[in-house]
Amino acid sequence: MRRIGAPRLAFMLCAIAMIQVALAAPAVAGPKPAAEARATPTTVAVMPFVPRSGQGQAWLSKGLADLLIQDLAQVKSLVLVSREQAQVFARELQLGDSPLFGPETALRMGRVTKVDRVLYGHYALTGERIAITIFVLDMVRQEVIQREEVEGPLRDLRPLLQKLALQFTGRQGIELSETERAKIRFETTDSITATRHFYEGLHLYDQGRHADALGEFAAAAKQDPRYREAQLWMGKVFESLGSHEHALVTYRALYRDAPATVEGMDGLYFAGRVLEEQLKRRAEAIDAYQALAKLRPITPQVLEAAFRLGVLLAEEGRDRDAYLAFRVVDDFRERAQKDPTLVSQSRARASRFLAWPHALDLHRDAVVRMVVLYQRMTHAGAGVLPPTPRGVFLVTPERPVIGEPFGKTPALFPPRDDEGTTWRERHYAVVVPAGYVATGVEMSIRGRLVVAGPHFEYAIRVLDFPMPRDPFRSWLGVIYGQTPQLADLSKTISFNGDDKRVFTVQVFGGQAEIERWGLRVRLRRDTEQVRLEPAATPEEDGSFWEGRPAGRVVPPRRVVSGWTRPLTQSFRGPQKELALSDDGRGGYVLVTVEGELDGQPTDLWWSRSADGASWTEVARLPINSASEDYNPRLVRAEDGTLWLYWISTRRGLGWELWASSSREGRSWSDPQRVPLEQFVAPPASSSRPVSLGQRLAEQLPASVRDRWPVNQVAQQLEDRASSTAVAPARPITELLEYDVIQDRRGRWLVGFYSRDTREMVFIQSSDASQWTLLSRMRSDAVMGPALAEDRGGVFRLAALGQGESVYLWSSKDGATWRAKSVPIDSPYGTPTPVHRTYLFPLSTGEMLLLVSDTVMGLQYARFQPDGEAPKLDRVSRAALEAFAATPTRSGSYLVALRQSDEILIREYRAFNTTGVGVKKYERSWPIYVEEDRDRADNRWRRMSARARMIVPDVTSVGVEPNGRVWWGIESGIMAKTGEEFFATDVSQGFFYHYVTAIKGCGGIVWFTADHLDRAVVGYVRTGPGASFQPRFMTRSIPGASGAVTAAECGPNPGELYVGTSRGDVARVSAAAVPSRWSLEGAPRITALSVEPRTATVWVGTRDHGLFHIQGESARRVSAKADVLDREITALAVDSGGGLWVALYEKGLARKVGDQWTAFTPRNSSLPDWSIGQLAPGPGGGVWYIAHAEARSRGIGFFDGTRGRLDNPPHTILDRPSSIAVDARGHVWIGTWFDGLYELEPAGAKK
Amino acid sequence: MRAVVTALALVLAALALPPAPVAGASAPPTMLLLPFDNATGDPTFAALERGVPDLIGAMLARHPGQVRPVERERLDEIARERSLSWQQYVSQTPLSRIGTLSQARYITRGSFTRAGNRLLVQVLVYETETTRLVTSAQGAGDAAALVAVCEDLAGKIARALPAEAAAALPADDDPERSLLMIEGLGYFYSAQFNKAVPAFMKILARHPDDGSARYWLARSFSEAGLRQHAVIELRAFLRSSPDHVKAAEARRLLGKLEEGARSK
Repeated sequence: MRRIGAPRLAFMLCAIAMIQVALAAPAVAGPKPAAEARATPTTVAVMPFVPRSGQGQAWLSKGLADLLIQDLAQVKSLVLVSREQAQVFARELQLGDSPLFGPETALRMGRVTKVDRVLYGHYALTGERIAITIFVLDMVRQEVIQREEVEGPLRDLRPLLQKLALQFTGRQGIELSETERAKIRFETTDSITATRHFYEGLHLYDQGRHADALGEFAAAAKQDPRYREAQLWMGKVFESLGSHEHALVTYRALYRDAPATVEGMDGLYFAGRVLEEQLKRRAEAIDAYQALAKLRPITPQVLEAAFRLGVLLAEEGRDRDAYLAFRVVDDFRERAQKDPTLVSQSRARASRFLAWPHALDLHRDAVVRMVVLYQRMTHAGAGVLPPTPRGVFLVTPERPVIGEPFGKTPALFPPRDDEGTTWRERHYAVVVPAGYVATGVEMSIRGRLVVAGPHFEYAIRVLDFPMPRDPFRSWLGVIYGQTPQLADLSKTISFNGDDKRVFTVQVFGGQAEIERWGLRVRLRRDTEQVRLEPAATPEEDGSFWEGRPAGRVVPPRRVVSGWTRPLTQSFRGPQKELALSDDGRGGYVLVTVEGELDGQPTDLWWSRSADGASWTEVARLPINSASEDYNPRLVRAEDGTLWLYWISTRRGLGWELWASSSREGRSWSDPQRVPLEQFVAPPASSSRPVSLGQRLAEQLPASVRDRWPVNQVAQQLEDRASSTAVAPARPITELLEYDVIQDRRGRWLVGFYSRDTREMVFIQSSDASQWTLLSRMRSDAVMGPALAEDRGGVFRLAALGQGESVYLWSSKDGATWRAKSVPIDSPYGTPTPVHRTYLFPLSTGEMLLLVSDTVMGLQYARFQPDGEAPKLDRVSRAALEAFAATPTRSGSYLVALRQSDEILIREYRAFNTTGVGVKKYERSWPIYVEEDRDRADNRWRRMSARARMIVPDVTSVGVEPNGRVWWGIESGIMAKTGEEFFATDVSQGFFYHYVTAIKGCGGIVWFTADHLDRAVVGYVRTGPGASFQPRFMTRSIPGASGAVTAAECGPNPGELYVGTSRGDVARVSAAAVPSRWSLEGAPRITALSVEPRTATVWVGTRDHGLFHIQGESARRVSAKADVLDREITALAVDSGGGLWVALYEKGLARKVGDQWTAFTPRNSSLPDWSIGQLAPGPGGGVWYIAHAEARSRGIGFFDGTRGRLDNPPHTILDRPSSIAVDARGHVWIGTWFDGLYELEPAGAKK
Repeated sequence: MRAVVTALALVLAALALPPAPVAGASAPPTMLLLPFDNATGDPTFAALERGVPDLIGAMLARHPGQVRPVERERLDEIARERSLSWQQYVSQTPLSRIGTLSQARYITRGSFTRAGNRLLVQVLVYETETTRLVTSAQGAGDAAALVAVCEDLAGKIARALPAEAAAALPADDDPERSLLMIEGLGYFYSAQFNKAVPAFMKILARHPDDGSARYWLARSFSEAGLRQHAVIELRAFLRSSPDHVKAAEARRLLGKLEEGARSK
């Protein structure tokens, strides 16, 4: 028997392949559309100017930068960081009002703003003349690439700046259109006095002196009544002062007086926002937005207003109007995509507040909201529907089919096509018509891999709508294509009773060609009385079990569509997103990260709980910066103060460690930085950005170079190279690895890894404020360091290192460390980087190690700290998500797990599987087994292959008489006999990607796939134990048409009966197809059963009832009344010879002799109405699973008298796919998303 | 002259904020400062008719327990109703009657004239009940040093008044409020309305119920040409302080602004 790991197990690696696809994507931002890449604008930040000599004037420092920003903002190929954003960043960079002129500061600004270029410069005011110089720092090359200078009278400030802007763009090779030139030449005011008042106002505003700023803006507006910008800022200041009525009056007056100006439109938009958000006068807000949304040509203000209008109207229930408002946004996005000049040649000047990028990006939210509204209108029967939204398919009962050559139909969102990785991705929404619900879909896709390999695939995936945050782990159904041969793949998925009115279809591929894809939506009348049984609840006896859900925290859902994570974020770097601690009063505090390192800035949010069960609404912490805040740690100090440590890029110097404390558990102290750089040894290399200063100086004429400040700055940079030089730019995913504890003496201990000097540094503090160096330890990369003090007062450090090793260091004083490295001992491996590592001392003297990585998930080990190497093993009910852990007073541990759209709090004691009656297979076995007993003393085992832990899907299950169990997975099959395990997939020649039935028929195991387009089966000859030599074959069934939709073993060894979708039945053996029958009316056969003693074959159909085959004849069976008037979904012959017939939504019927009996929940103890599959029990009766379109309530058993449901302990059997019963009476149940279950009923054979 | 007016304006604020005595404590005597006669014959000094007494009043306010200046609003109103100028009204009305109307124990009258670059100021203080002259004082100085002249006169008056039991005045809960009010009024009277507005807004940010600050903010808006903003503040002022001493004037101004808006 082949063991897992020997062959290329592509089929098992499909989930991991997804990761690798992600890793194959561009390094930082994930797949970027090719068209988008070509048109990617250059991002620019402009820093406040500094005086070349003397005191300078604050208004000029701000004014020069702002005027330049306003001019450059008119250039469509540039994206400017707004003055306001830059101001926030500058504040966090701690630059003060007179930032040091030089590339070092510019470099920091460039990093926090994440731009391509930083413009900085200086000015010299001599009498009434001014000279202005700018420098352009390229962030990629990290050098000054351009220098421009202008000089002239101060009264000509505007023209001078315009000239500077034109010089800059000219040297950058930007060809300006006449429109852009005209917009740059536009003068908001020609009064230098008004300009001065305005920028004095801005300066005061930046200082938080809003009332004074108002006075300056008012003075500017009075000086030059045409100075609309000053009026607009008056409105902003009124808002800042909380004077919303004044703000409203100002905005309205501005629009009234200058409706055609950008400031007038800004004013109207802000009037709407004030009315909506502050004054709560929604009707007036709607009027304001409506007035603006009607304006043409479309400007960013129009799009922003249309979006807000849509939101308000939707909240008012005015669905059609709301829909049309959102449509303005979406339509323009599409038109602009086809004709970019709509934006680039727009005659409207750029607004300082409402810019094109944000306005255009609204379409994602707009589209999602349009779909929701469209679906709502569809179901409300709201008369004539508006045009279907782009990317939406409205199916009908007459035509529930969607199909298209890939990419032909416009998608919901702009296509994601990337030339580099050949990544193609489209999203569509499917809306169900009024009066119907979708119970499932039949998916099909035709394609091939261009480059063969387990890293690539093409796929069609069905998801909820709107999509979840992590669609890679929570889909409703999927087909993956992984072969280079052109193939038609199809699959049916059901929603298992969770019927949909709208859902998402995602079609994508990497290194693949997709010819076409299609869906057939399975519709059911919504008005029919659905026989939904009451939902079952898991057995809860109050006892503890490993992974018991203790609470849940719902993170804020900020936008509708922006929620979905970029592909790269789901699997790339470590997700250090959670921190958890007790609060010292019996409660707990949780800190979570929102945002993406590659996308929206990451911020820290928090929630509190008095008992670990109920959590407060997640709120943003007040200590966040405008940059990234990440990797939180919570430590409760001995005095009860809660300390939060985290890393932040707020100073533009890479990741740095920050701390804040909360005594009351409510407010937090101002962030204070832990000055790690003071404790890092100076690097031997001098390849520092100090050379920037030199390069800058070299670019200057000698006359300038000789004067302050440029040469001085260069010298200063040289001087400071060894102490405060800027850290080299690193990818943002290279996080600062650290941990912090407070020891028993109240001393703070921080350990962090310095990548520059390749050493682990330990520092200490008595007050978390003044830090001193303890020690530095040279080391290769340290990932996820965890510090702890054991029961004996010895400090312990655990971390993962490169080369699959675990570091276990120890120190008696924190100063002298004994390094130890052991190989990772885990059956699953632990690839780095890790999310997080925790180390807890146990009362036994052992240590508990928890470690989670991006591929294998959360593992634990209990070990003697100075003894053997920790043996890691998986933690039950946890996967790949970010996690955090904290001990409880009762000795257990609370673990927070980020699972897609929520944070689950689970409780563990031992972490070793599910607790009671633990019995596991060897750790080296590739099947992960959890075992437990339920209250009826049934023994349950749950199995999942460790390589499929992400999505442990089972499409079908079958057992051989010798006890070998087979189960289908996406793209292949697996089998186990006792300790032996086998797996293969389509990439190794297995006959089909999706096996829907497996029958072990004495020496031969048959595989069928009901989505093949022809009558063919796969098979393999088997034998006992080691004699098993798998050689997979296929057999066509001559004369039969349609796909094989039902199968059952015949009475003779190796014999199989099959039924097809077109009414053919055949008896098949490995050597031949000796018999074939065609049923009258060519019905779709749905079920087969064979009575072994008489060789009678029973055939169930979808809409032609039941057939009976004996000998050469096949005839339809009639039954009294309406016993068989529904689709037959399953058949079984029990040990007593009775025939059981499962009928769609009509329970069971049993035939004994000529006597038929119908059983439903109404007239018997049968627990369910809709039964999907049957398996005869060896002692009589039948086991069953619910129909795929019904909600599962457990595994059912019924013998005509007694009926019951069984469930694994603490859970309800979720979405079962298949069932089989072995000779011992053990029931095997496959599930779509939860692995394979084995139920050993109490009293069954061992 | 501008310096004089500015200095004057800075002090007007003190009048706007006469500190109220603590309940139960004996109140300091009250004083009404009537406009002074402009004996220079130069109408450019007209602003000092009210400015000098206001300045002296502000300085007197620095002598808590001695005297408390009272508002002239009621008398202003009466004079306006009778279509009289200040001078006409005062000349036609007995001091005792004026004292009753203003509820002032003392009434101060005076005049100023010019001698070269020097300004000569004469002050007469009467007891309203008896109409006897309590004290008189003279001061002189450079026009730019008017503040010092007034301060000197205020000191003389305070010293001449009968000693009263020192009334305990409440400590100002927010000293900056007074400073801001002085600053705002100073800017207001010197026609720097864009600077007056922030001062009053700062007061209101700390004390939203400060009727005086709101009134002057409205006036500042109005004078700055920001009439809609003035209307907002006047309405808010009348809503929150309908009995304020400035309420009548606020109503008049509001009516005027609203009428102006309608006529547009």
